[in-house]
Amino acid sequence: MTFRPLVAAGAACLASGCVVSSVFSEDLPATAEPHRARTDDGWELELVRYRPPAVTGPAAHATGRPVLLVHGMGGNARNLDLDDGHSLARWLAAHGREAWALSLRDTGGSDRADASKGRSADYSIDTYVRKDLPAAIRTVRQVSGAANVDYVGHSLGGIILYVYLATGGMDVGAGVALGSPGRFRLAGRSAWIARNLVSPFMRHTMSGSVEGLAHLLSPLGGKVELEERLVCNPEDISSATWRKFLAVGAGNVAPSSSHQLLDWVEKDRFASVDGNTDYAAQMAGVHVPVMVVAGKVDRIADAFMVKSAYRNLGGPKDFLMAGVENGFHADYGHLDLVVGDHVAEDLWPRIADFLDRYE
Amino acid sequence: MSDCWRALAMAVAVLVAPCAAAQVPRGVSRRVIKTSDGVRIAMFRYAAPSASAERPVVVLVSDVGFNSRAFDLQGDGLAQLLARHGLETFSFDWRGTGSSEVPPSFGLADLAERDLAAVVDAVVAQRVVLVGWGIGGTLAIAYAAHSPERIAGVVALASPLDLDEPNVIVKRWVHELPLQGLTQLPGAGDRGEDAAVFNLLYAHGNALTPEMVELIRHRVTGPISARLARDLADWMHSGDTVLFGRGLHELAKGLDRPVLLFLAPLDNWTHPEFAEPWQDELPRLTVTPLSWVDGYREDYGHLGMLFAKDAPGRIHGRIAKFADDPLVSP
Repeated sequence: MTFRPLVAAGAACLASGCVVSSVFSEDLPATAEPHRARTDDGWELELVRYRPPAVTGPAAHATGRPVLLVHGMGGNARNLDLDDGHSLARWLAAHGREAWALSLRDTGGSDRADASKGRSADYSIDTYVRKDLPAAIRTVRQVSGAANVDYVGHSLGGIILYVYLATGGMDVGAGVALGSPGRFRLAGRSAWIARNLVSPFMRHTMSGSVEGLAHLLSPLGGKVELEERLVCNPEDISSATWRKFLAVGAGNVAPSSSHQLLDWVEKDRFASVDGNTDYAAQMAGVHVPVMVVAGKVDRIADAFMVKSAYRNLGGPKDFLMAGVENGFHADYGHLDLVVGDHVAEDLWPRIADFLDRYE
Repeated sequence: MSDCWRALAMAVAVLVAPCAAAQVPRGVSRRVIKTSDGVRIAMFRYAAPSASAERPVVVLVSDVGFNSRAFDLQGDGLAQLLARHGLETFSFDWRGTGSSEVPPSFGLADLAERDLAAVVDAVVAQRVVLVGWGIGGTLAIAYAAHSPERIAGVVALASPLDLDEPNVIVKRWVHELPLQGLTQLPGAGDRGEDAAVFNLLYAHGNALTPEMVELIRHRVTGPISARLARDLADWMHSGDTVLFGRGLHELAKGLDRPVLLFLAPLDNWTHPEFAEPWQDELPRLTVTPLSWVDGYREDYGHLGMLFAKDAPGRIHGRIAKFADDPLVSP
């Protein structure tokens, strides 16, 4: 039996997905400044800088700390900078804060894994913490002249903030984690699905194919209820936004990274890849102010898993449930926290207020 | 239905509510028992024609600030379903609510250590299954941990362990609590905004009609002591509360009976993240999130677990199976 026809069909689908997805994509505005951060293991990472309109002159300085924005697993910098209506980066700049959107290694405009150039695809979530974040923070400080940075992370972006701070990471003034669990214990059918379907699939089949898959699915954005309801509340994200997100917002995932995440879920243990450092326990020593935000109907990071992170942190800390009972337009799902249609009114001012409080 | 008819229906429901609350539904017998501190508690028995001595008896424990009508609002509630299933079932009104006596002051511990204890003592059965809703489930778990002898199992519907201020509404309620006398849960009073608050906290999700929600608000809620409200506020702030002389976390660790816990994602009063930590304390716990991901048609809220149209088929039947044989059912 030959797999050649299957491979060819897969490649054709992927290529057509890429072509179709380009219809839904949107380029960055002229105000976006491209920068590169170099990690000490030789990767170049994409950073996109937005400066407040009043301080774009050559001698001007931003007033608040610059804010580093970090996306979740399988995403890229565009998750927090999708378009004018869905960009925390541009919103922060418009409100006087310098913002930097980062693409972690192997995603967005950052270097891709390439063994011939010494960039191995065998990196874990710990690698983002030990290599990517220090490089990004160092670059933001150097370019902006700020002594330290504020941080907003979505999903994995928030998890690596917890780990960075819990393991002694420096130069962060205050942070916000959006839909970022601190414990990975599932309940009910989610536990069964994770154990019997997701885990075997991710361990044995999937390796870095998220970006291509998202491109392939982008024309279906808003038309497949299951896909949408799992990752967002369809009442809160328009089909057009969802399609655009699929077209430009996906990034690859290294097998070692997804395996580390699966270990956390399967063993109910939030620890380093070698198992020697218990991140959950070390979070009690984090005294950088962190606001933890949970989506009320988040199916990826259940609110109770996110609340665990809040409980583990040493404080000062805030917890916010993104739901109608707290004045949000809708109960938020996972992606609504970054690209929801009302996120600029519902959430971003609260993020800015929290960061300003600890300025 | 036009707005006019809707308003009329709501007004009629509210007007007849106090009369209906005092009536005992057909087929239900009422008795009054006295607690160890002499408070008269109204208790209701739903006889099961097909009950046998081997089967457990069910005691339904309503949420704090709600009365026994939570299980029998219109003759088709959880109490009747369990009785039809062949399980002799009891419900009761907490002190201060429904037909029970209203003492001048009482706290959370009085409910578990006196009211619930008196009710279980009054039930003549070798095996009792406690089914508690909201904080009622927490008190049921605490009671079972303290006095496990006759308890065969516990069902807890969105019952918190790590209670916290879930939202800005409850934060404000806590801030405005009176120091003494009686008060009510947020949204259960007569202020202009209360109906909307009640709807948001307890009736979110499950498409309950406005008439139904108003009926519940007037017939099923009751006053609580300011001291009890302060106990809840202290629990929210400290993360633990003392029942039977021990912290809830420590007390619960000793419970070796099966516990079936339902989590309601849209519950804005007792959020799932308050209840999920039971997994750290109860060795024989089964957790069932009542969510879309878990095969339910929709996510459930606080009232939806008892009053949603599909709750009997989706949830109450599962409770009946568990109560029938807690050792096997999960």
